[in-house]
Amino acid sequence: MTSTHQKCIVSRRAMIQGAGAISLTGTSYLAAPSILYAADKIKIGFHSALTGLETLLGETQLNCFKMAVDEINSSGGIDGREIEYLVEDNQTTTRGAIDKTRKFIFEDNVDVIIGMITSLERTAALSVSAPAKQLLIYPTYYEGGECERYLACTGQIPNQSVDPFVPWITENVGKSVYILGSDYGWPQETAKAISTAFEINGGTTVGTEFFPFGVQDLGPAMDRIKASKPDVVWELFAGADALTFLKQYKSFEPGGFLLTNGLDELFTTAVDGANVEGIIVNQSYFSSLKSSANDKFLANYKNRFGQDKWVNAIAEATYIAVYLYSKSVEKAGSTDTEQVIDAMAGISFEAPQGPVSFEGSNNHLAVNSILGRCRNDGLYDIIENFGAITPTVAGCSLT
Amino acid sequence: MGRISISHTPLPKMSYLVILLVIAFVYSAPLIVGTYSASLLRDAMLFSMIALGLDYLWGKTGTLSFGHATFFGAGAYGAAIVSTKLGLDPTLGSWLGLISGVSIAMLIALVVGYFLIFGGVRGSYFTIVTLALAVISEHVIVGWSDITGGDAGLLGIPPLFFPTLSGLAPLSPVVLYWFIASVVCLTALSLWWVCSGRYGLILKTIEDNEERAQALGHNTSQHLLTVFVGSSAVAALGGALYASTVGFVAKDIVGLILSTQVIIWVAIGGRGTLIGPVIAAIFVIWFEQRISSINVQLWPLFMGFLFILAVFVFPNGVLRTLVGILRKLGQRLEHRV
Repeated sequence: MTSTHQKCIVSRRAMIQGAGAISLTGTSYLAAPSILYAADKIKIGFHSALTGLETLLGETQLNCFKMAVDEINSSGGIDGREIEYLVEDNQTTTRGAIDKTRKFIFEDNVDVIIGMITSLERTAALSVSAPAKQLLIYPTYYEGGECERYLACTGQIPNQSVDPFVPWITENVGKSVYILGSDYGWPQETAKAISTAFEINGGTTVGTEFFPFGVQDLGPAMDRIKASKPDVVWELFAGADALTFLKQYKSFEPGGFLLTNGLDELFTTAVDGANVEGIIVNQSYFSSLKSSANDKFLANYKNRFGQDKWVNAIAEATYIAVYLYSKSVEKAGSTDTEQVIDAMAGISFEAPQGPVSFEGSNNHLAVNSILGRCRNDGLYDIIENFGAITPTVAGCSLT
Repeated sequence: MGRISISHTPLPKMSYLVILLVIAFVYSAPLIVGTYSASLLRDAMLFSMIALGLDYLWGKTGTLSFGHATFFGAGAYGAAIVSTKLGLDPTLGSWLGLISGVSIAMLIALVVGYFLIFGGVRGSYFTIVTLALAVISEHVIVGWSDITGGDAGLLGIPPLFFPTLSGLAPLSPVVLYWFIASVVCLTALSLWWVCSGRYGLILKTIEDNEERAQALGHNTSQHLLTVFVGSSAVAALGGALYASTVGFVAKDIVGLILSTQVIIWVAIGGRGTLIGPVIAAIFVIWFEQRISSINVQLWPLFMGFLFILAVFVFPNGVLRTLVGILRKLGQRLEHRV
């Protein structure tokens, strides 16, 4: 009796699944034949800047996300449970990020949300996900300061990028800095961290300027840089605006050594090598890192998405985010959000960038801090590796 | 004369039934479709207020404004800034924000409208100047980032607080939905009631021939200004409610793109029907979310196709075409009886 009853349920579920699969042709469901375990699947919602200002970065991020999911699934899933994922585009807008987060939580009932590039997407998504007590993993390096139980960050924050970088600059390059960037959270707050770090190391900030998205003419700003004669110019432009800046900086040549923690392979391989050669960048990951973990990671990526493709720090941190979630679910033995978050603390593993570990007191990842000098081909020569640095968020104690 | 008498023909009984069914669906939706879909529908209703406002202006007086999203944005940003930046208690701040948002938008409409309408700017010239208004508002939002949050927008806008048994509290999602549905329905019904009588005929006369309306003794400029300010107030009310409902405002709710979308909603829904643009706005926003989940590139194509369809196949709007078909069917039934 019981067995026939169960069969009935399974076949009905199979029918519903089949109907769903037909009606959802074209969506990014990872269709799987194993109907019996359908209820056991783990659902991850990914939304990011697939169109809009940050399109440049969104695609590679999505690729790395898919690659991590597929790797985990092909090695037996998370504790035998398959990962299913949904992909949405938030158009690099506040409204898009809120809409898509709402959809994932209230309609699709995902277990975790991963993705996003800009701080405005994160803040907007968080305004929906945190009150709903839903875990969000944000992989992009950002200005720091988030202290939220339902948010986990796998990218650099200023104490992992700016703080080790600035003493190196004041010692090797110069003591005065001019900061330019886009007009929103990440550049504004990072600029403050940069100024503070220069002050501590005996340097000065001679200028700080922010520009709206889509800025075209940086000529007047270049004149001001020229007039203030800084040793170092630190750029913090978002997405396509960074390319505009690089081209105009090269053609105006206002002086000052160009440095940043906001460029990577995807930017510098997209412009002519002459525009970017010599720039020194701090990131948690570079494609040119030599390690067996990275060789394997990069080879897999190139085999799947193209031999001429490169991975940047954001995409690698997204790859890490999927593994972090997977390992936390395994440790917790459940997908219950509260248990998963508790399990995250102390998780450590070997990532393509090197060893990483999760700091439970502020829900950030201890990531690496690496200096690269940009070559003519847009890739980076590693000139210094500060190693994995414990993240600090002032006044934050989540555990 | 002919056109006026047509608009006074009573609607066939069946269309009252259709309207009742639509209202019944709108009110019962949050109980049927789930939280996410209900929130989509709720936001779509708020955006449809711009279409309603624009139809009051464009549909009733024939004056097209290309900048109506500006008023929605002014309402939303006004509400957001007043309720978050002045350090007010949220229970008071949310309502004060709503009132200030609407007032700011009306003030902008009054100042801009006064100089345009009393300056004799009409027709396409009026449309072009309002186009500039949309562009300017977008620049103000982006440029004045200390106040408006720039590209990132403003977050943390408090919801509206209502007196309940346990003191002042925000509404539950379902009740909030019903509140917003009621505001939209009431606004639409009031505008329809206002325009259905003699006043509607005066506006119609102004659309047909403003000089003749003047010759009949009507102060046409004053009428146009009243409609312009009134229509901007409707859009701003939608914007201010949107800010407090969603809890954030960003630059995509002002400016040119939204303004043009509104025109498409009104064109699809049928200019001058008031309820048509509202329904069209809700459907178009709903489909936008659904289609963009399947494929991002598909949506603009679909929207363009819909607009071409509206212009060539339903030049009077989908709703009017449907009502026409219903009316014919009704007549046939009467003949048979």
